[in-house]
Amino acid sequence: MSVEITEEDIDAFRELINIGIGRSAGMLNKITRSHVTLSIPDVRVLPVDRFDEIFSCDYDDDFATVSLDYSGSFSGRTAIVFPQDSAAKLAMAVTGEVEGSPELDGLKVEVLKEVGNILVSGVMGSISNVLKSTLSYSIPVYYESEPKILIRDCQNFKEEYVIIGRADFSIKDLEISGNIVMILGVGSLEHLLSCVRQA
Amino acid sequence: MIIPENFIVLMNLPVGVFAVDEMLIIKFWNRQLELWTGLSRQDAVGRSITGILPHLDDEVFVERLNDSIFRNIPQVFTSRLGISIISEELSSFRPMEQRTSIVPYQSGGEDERYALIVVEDISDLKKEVEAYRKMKDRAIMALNEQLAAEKEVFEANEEANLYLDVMSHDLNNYNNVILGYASLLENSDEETTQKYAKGIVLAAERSFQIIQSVSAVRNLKTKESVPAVISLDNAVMEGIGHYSHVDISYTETGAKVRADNLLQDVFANIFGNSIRTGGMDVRIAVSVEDKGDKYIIHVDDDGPGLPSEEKKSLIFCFSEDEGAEYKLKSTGLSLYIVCKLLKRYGTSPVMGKSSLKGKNKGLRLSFSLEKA
Repeated sequence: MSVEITEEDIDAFRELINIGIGRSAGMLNKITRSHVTLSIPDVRVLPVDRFDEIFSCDYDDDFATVSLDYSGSFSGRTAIVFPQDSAAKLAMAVTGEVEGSPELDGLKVEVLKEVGNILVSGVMGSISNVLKSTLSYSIPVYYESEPKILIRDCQNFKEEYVIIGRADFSIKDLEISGNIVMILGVGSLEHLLSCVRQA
Repeated sequence: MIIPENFIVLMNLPVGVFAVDEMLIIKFWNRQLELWTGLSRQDAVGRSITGILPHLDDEVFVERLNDSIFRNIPQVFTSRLGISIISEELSSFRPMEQRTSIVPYQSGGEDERYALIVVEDISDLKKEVEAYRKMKDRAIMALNEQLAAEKEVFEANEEANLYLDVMSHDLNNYNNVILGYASLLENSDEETTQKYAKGIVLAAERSFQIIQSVSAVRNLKTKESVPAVISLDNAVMEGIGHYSHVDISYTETGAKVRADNLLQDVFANIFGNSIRTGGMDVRIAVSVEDKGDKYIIHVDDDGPGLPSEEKKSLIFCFSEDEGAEYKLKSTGLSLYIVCKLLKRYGTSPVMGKSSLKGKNKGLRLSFSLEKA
């Protein structure tokens, strides 16, 4: 079943994600004690089978990913996906460690997991405000793999659509880029659209 | 003190676990936390989280804790980003590297909402990561050393090849000069001079041939043999062509074999060995025997044969045994090259009785080649 999505819907999604990550940026400001800006310049909604088009470009390395599954009136998986160089820059910016330091290796996973959790929580908090319902969530997990694993490993729901928002960060003069990926289960996009259009 | 019943199972877990309600009042405190903080369950339960852990009166922490309690969104923290549940002052052991997870929990419907706070000591995990990193660094260092050594060997090999090329070129130039003068001497009216001239020509031709074969063996190391259909007649005649003044007989058979374009070097080197032992007057005969799916090729001479020491070395040289190294010094270059070349075709030479009768017993070298 295809869902008609208008420019206004895309704008509304972008606004929702921006509100969520705006709150996350505030938290990161306090944690890192430095100015963090986050923006979502581009949002796309695609059927799941076109997911590869977004990530089939120039990257050879695995991506650093933090994801969270949820279920309830709305089901799916939300993840923040960083190319490795951005993930390393983000970890360095947040911890103050320098590239190649022994500390950074030990810290990277824990730090990215926490930052990813803050970002994904922000986005999901914003979404659940619009949905006016509480969802059940899994514990956030961190992994390094190809982005398509995000789709392949969905076992608790049948995925249908994916909302992808490019996330641009600026922390301590470092420009970092990632993607917010929301994989939506069957019927979830329609439910979200209906709530967004009523809001 | 009332501990919600469902939390009792968490009492003895090897991680710190405590629960707070919507008012951030501690409702459960497990044994591991008692051990880590020195605060008993009685001291903790019923008090505000910020009352006994004042450093957690932090805007970001409380906001995230509320996200977990009221929005159900689990949270994870690392002590490296600022939030340590067990502060350094409180820890009865040592400074701990901590990972904290906050999981929402509801009991008795919507009325009882809790946040379960699970604290893990990951100090050892950090040490493991550091140990792994050191191991990785050592492995990278060893790999770099190996790559540098391989590069050195490669460069030394390239240099040796360059010397060999230059040397071969210069030697062949001198051989050409020798051949030129020897040809002039061959036209002399004097029989003795003609004989000497033939000897000089033969030596120069042999020298040419050795240089060519050494180059061929060098190529063996870099090029895989790709078996092709080769005319045995052509290979034998090419081999004969290297020695213009030696009596080498061969009757063409039209046989085709599976080999490559180095087969002519096999013949040239076997002939070269006969000349080395039998001198320029040696007679050589090549014959071919049809044996079904293969040909047996015999090269007979009427020279004195090989000294016993060389024969012994040759037996090892022909052996398939991995431990039997070619005895280059003992067998001479010609037979060494023959062994190397034939090995590529999956065969090896064997010694036998020569069919040529003369004052010497002679030598037969035979080998098989697959029919094409």
